[in-house]
Amino acid sequence: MSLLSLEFLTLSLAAILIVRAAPEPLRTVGFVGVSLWFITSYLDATGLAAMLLLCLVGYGFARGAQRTPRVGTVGIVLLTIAFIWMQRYSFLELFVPERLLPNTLVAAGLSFLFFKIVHVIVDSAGGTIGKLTLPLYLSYCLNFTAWLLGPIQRYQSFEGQWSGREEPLAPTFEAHLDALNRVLRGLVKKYVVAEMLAHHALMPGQDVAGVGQVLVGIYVFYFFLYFDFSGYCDIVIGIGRFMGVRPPENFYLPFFSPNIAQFWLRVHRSLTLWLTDYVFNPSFAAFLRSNRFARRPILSASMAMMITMLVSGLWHGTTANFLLFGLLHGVYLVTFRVFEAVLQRRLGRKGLRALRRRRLWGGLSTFLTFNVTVWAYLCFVLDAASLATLWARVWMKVLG
Amino acid sequence: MRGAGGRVRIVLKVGLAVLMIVVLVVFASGEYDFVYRAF
Repeated sequence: MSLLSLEFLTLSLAAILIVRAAPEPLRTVGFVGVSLWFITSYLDATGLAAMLLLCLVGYGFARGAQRTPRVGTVGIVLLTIAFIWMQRYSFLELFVPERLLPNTLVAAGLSFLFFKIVHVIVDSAGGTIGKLTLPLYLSYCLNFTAWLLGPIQRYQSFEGQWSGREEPLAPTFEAHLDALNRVLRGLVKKYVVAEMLAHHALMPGQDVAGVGQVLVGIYVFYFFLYFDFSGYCDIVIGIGRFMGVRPPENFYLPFFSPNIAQFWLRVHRSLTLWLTDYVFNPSFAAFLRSNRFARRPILSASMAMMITMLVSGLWHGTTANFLLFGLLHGVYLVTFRVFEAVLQRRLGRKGLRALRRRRLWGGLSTFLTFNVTVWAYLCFVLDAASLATLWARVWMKVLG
Repeated sequence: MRGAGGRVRIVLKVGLAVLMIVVLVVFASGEYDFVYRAF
């Protein structure tokens, strides 16, 4: 379903009306119904059944984890296996017979749903989620504004806004006008600017032409991706504000990031925060607890960062090039952190802060961050074979 | 009570909304070949 369609407008208006005006339990049931209306435009019956089953199994494990935290660990392991199988990761073909792999593609929205369920299970085990009811849990999991491409909202935030504890929109004309402008801005970004850029960008599945053409195309792709994804987020955040359940902010001008760590806080921020909480922090803590790495915080942080970015890469896609994307960003982050630690040792905290404040330093580091992040998107767009061809062509040019 | 600055801000925001609606209608209608030709 296009977000620039009469059907989506009708669906959104129905959702706003239901969430703002309907009494419980009609409100929750109605919202789940509207969300399923949206989801069924992307999934067939098998896909929908698989999604709902994943939600229900996740709910069972989350409830179990509230009583016995170890149930949560078992649940996460089993759901991760199910996720890998449903996504049909390319490495599965190496050791799983073809007849045991899923035939139908149920990938739309699955990555986001999986991360939301894992979050609910972990937080249930940790005791930070209070009462977990099935209707509200389903509203959270299937919420149409955050189902297709995120942002990844936390259950606690969703529950707070759903129950009315958090005011999503001030009752003024200007606040409503701002929400409307947010939706319109998103539509223009996604359906006008991104559409125009798509004609000139290097897109997934495209053949590798000349090296120069690929380089120009990848810069255009970077901006295409930004306008397309951030435009989508503007639309759903705007609708969420009207509705009363607003997904979190996800983008903040990533091309002006002064370093790679800032880049990940400005692009797909909700994913970065999820990865920090559920992958980086536990891995870092585990390394620090071990006898071998306890006295090596930088090495421990570097290894935790590599693991986090590899998970991020594999979450973005199912093929080897996405693993490479994660690996590359892991190397970027580790290099940045080590470089920063060396600078701090030489200049001291005050010296490093003074260096960061210098305009030339800021400009150079922003320029470098922008370019290395653009190049990393080559792994996002091209498959492993095309990347190898491109790499060979670059070296042939370099060597004459 | 909204001051003069507040009223101007509202008028600008309404203007921006109208402009974006016009752009979207033009693009949704498919009558935007002139934009591609300009590139």
